Amino acid sequence: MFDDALDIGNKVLKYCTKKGMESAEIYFAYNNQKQVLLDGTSIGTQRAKEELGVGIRIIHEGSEGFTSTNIITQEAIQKSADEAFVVAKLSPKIEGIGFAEKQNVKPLEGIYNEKLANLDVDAIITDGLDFIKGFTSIDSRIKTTLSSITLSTSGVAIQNSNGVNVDRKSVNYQAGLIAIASDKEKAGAFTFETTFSRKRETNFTEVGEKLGKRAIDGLNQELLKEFEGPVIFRSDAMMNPVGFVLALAVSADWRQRGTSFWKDRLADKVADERLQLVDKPFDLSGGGGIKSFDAEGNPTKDIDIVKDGVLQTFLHNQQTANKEKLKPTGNATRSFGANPSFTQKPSMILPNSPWILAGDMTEDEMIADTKKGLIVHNYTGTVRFQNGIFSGVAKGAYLIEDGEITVPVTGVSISGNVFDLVNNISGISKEYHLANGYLTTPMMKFDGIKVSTK
Amino acid sequence: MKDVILKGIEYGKKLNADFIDVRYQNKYVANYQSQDGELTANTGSRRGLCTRVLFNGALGFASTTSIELKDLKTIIEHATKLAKGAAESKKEKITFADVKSHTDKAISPRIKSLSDISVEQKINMIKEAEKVYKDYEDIKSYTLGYDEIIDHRIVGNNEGTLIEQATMIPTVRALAIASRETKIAPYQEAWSKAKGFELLDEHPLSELAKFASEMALKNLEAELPPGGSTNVVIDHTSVGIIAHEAVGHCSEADLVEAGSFLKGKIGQKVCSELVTMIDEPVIDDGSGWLMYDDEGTKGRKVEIIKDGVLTDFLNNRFYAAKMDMKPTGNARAFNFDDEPLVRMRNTYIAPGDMTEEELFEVVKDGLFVTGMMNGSADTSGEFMVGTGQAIEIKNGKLSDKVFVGPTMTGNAFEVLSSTMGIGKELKLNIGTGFCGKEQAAKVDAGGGLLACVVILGGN
Repeated sequence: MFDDALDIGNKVLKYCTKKGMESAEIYFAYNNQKQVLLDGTSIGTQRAKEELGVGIRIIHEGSEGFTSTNIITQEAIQKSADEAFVVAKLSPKIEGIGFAEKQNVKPLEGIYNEKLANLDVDAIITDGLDFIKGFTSIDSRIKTTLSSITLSTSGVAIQNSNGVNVDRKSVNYQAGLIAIASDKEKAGAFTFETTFSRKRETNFTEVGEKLGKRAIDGLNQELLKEFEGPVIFRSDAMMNPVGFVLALAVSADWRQRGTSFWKDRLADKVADERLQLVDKPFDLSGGGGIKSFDAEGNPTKDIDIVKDGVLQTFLHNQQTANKEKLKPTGNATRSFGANPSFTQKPSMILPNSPWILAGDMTEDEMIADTKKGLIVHNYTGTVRFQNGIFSGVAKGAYLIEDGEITVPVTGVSISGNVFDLVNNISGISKEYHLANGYLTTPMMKFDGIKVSTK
Repeated sequence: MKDVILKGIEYGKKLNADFIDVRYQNKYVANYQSQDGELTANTGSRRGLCTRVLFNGALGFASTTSIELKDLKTIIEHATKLAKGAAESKKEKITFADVKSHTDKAISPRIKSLSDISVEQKINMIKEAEKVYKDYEDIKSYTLGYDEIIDHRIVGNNEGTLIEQATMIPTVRALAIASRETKIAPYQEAWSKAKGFELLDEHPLSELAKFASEMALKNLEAELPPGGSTNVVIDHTSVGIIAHEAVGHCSEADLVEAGSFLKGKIGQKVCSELVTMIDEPVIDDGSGWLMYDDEGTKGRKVEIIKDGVLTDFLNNRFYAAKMDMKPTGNARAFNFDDEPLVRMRNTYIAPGDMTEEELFEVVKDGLFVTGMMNGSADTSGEFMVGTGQAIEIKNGKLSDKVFVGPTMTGNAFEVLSSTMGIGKELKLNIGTGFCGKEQAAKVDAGGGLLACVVILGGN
């Protein structure tokens, strides 16, 4: 995977010292993808991609420079280091900037599956054909587009001047699947589903059938009258807007800049006491963010972020922790998603593998407990992450009347404030779902949401 | 590099490929920004080669970061193997529409090359401009940035096409976050164009910082407007987002085939006769500049809607063949390891004949919606566009009442059917926006100001 890159990395670190650079960090990211596209009712292009790249960060006299390249030779990486050094020397000091210190990193078994990594593309084609079989069995008016099933093998290695020298490799099998139903009279809405697994265990025929049913519902949507009431958010809607807003609100960087809505609320009750938000980077049943060290090489750990509705902590990277003379929490992030990126420096702080813990109602009970409301698959719209205000369109929405899902509905706008929503929880399901391969979450019901319509 | 590409193509022919193309790309991306005085730079290049091999109606794609001929041959073998392996399972065979082969070199317009401006100059420019924020006590956080993409690509195929293309796109952006007690209000302003460093003369960073700060402060005390169906005048940016997201995507041939709202409607009236909508490969300094696409097809201007009637779709060679259309040159890939997809370039609603004042008069009571947060749509034409701010229109004139920018929603074709008038002035700018259809693409969009009826997801 890294071949002789790690050896080159060590040589470049020595070169940086020799050139007078105070400290350096080398971040290798490897991605190998086998991908099958699905188009119409047929398989599309078969793709194979492989890339090893490196991001180099230089810290010099309290300032920082960063460059990246996918040319893995000693000469090219040294040139990148020189360029990063130029930027560092020109830049003002950044309070708290620093690299991770050498620490023990707890081993994490089970994220690399040799058998899966060697899966032949024919097997991926078979899964693609199963998906097509699934939705075409529902209705001949359904097609897919821009869908793909991808086997990704990836790796990360971090070396720095403080002696950090860590690496990992992982493999995952994920799909982004879209179904659309249309006929001469009407075009249905996009319906989509993501799957994520560390084994080849997804039943793609079932996924196709479920998505196909939703696509047909997209042809039969009805208009609704405005109301204010409860809305049940399914997994994707839990991710956006709820998960994103909460994840950024607990970033120490946002708190230190004064842009976190919860900046002064540490140890306060910020949500309904049933809300439990946890980072579980070692739980293999979680999503693509499982890891034993973060994007700077600091060890990760289980963290209670919101417990019984009370904000327990903010999440730190090396810089924010240095500013407050704390230990980093292992939440430095370079890119969103399961596959690493060498082109970004670790500028974000996010939970590694966030979980919103399950409640005590079944999903059926949550629906049965709703006199009039909506259940929503996805939300697309504006989210002001700083203040939690969201306003946009509910997609894959169904009306609930007298405890039963009655009709799919269209043209529905919902708006509110995520920080209010988490104080107006009226139900949390027992069942978990994985949203966008990242957030493990139950369905949640929130009261008092304004539903606007045409 | 051209020699490597040509030798690779010859090798593919020897492997009995029905069609082969090879693309080289070296993309340099730089982001310089100051967030609350913390100045950082993120620069880097990604380069590599990719190939598409068509064999018995199936397409294989493979890429490598190497630019050596031996590695190109390896990925050609790999792509051939993938295509051969899939050919049996492929129900619908892929063919490509005929296009004229070209050998050409195209360079996007620039006066001051971005490569000639030193890192020091770029950093000092940000340091100087960020002083503006000190004038605003309630701006508690800000981000001021300058980005650039310098892209060099060469595409060749076994039909004789060999196109070299170089583009540079600078972007300037300013975010201001106003905060007072428990209230927080962000606002972002940005410009992005296919040109050189002269963009900074036209849109100085300090001016952007000042504008974003003043708008954020206005939003701090403002509320969302009432929700529901509302008469509006929409500014160029949001008109562009509606054109791109809601209509443009519905006219992309892959989504048409999948069942978009526009499927089967060529020749039919789909909106008001006041509306003409165009996608163009090159329009002034529009940041979707693309003389030739990533299949080497020379781009042509596409009138998607003319006087309210659907007239054309955007396509690549595969969909042009499948739908028996003339190729439009809309196949685009963002990075060397991306397969070209049908994407837009510079998409806009053609200007009309009304002044700004006349548009306010025709709306009478409603909102003037400005600025852009984000946007999305699906194939049914349903869209959402997040906006920055809304100003009340009362009795045909702008009042002093300001609202936080609402989210506009609706079905684009119903919204465009409600068109009351279109402004005379054409502007394209979607700021920092990239289109995100599977992979990124730098696009531009805009139009004349548009008076129409939309649904607001308001307070």
